Amino acid sequence: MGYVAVRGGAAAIENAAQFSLVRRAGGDSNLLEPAQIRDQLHFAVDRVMGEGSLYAPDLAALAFKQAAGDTLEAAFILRAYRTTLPRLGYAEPIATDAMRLIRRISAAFKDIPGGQLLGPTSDYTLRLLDFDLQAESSARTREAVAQLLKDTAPLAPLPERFPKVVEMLRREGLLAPRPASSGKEEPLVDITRQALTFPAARSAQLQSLARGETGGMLALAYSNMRGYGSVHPVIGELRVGYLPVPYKNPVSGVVETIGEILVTEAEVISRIADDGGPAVFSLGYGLCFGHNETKAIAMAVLDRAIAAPEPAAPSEDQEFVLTHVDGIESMGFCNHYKLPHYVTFQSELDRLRNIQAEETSARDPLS
Amino acid sequence: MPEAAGDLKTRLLRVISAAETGQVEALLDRLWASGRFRIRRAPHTGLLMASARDPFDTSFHLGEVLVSEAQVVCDGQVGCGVICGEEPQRALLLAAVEAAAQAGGASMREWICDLVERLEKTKGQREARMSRLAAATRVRFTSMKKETVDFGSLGDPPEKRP
Repeated sequence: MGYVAVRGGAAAIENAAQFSLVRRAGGDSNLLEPAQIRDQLHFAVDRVMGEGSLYAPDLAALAFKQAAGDTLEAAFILRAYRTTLPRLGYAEPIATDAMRLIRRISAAFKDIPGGQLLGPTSDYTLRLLDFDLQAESSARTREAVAQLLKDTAPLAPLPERFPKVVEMLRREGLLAPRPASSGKEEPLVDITRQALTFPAARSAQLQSLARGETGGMLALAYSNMRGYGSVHPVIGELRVGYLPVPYKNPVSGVVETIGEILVTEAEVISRIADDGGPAVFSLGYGLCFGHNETKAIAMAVLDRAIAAPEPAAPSEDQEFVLTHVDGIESMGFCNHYKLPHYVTFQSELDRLRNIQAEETSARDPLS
Repeated sequence: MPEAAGDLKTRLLRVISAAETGQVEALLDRLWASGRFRIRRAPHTGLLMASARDPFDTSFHLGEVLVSEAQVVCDGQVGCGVICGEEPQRALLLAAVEAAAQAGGASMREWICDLVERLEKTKGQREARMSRLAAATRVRFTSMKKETVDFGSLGDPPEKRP
């Protein structure tokens, strides 16, 4: 079906944009500064960076402001912006055990070497609306922060590295190796430069999931967890922390750490279905920009699910999963239906009328 | 590149995020005033594709990172500064420090060292503060049933139970 363009409406379009401005900024409240969004609405900023696939906290905060809090739209704006910038190169691949941690938990093992760190989380507290935040006193909040820093001052800082929990399983032969999806040595694919083809290389699978939309990934992973699939996940280790970015300086050739990025990593353990081989665990892996635990866990579950040799449910079909998790594509496709389809719909209408007329004349040839 | 040149820039890179804009500009002004520098490539932003390795050692692209780059020449020596974020001044300073370290000059080295040492203190305190906050959330859940997992293979024996 072809599309036919429409013309006109420039003034209305301009006024519609102005109306949006009034909806965002026409009230009496103070205008938001991007720095406030970056610091205080950090989960939103992290989500926008992860789904926009660009690590740039200041720009993500700006996009979130521009989109008036719509994370899909903000990720779209950020991803559109990235197309205006040159690609300077590729950073060196980094092993995540170098992460400077702020959170590390295991749901599989109670006592892990190095200990569990709850980090900044509300997982264990009640979801009660905090009315104190309605009129938050800046002075009182700053005081509480200062008090917390004072109280923790006598503690010893954490070690720089923590051992990976899954390494233990691997060393004891309890973890199944992960064969390449095509069964042979795979190149490192960059799906921003090469079209995604199936079966996709594992690097392409992980890259697609890492830039996927949280809600879409959650829905697919949840379908698997509920029974439309065979992954019974246990979180071996969930980490939140800062990863160094190593980059080979283009002039000196020296590999330098040019900064840090906040990431969330999930390693999900699941029993492999008994196929006559030795009983082992398999691992699903999730890693994404920012602090986004739901996405990292959903990614790990989907990574494990799409490794199934015979997909028995949509979440186990890699083509189904990888072509539907991108938020910019799915949201764009959904929303394009709002744009004028007058000519295409008119032709549908004409066809329907003709069919109905033919049916009527067939029923009653004399009419 | 003389060893010291790399050292100083590496140290600066490690701590430059703790610098205030004024500190970066002040050092740049001091270096520019020497008349020995020329900007070879003005600061500009671009993208680097960041990559990670999963537990099976598969490398994959995690996503792009916004970075700033600049190139500076000092007495014919080229320095290149690359840093995460939209940070034109910091990219310039890193480039200038690399070029200056190669070109030599005791006084310039002293100015740079002075800033690096101050920033090392600030950054160290900041990181330790964050690390202590995380350390305060260390948890040891107690279970109704004794766990029988041996973590010896990770080289870190389990803590003794009281």
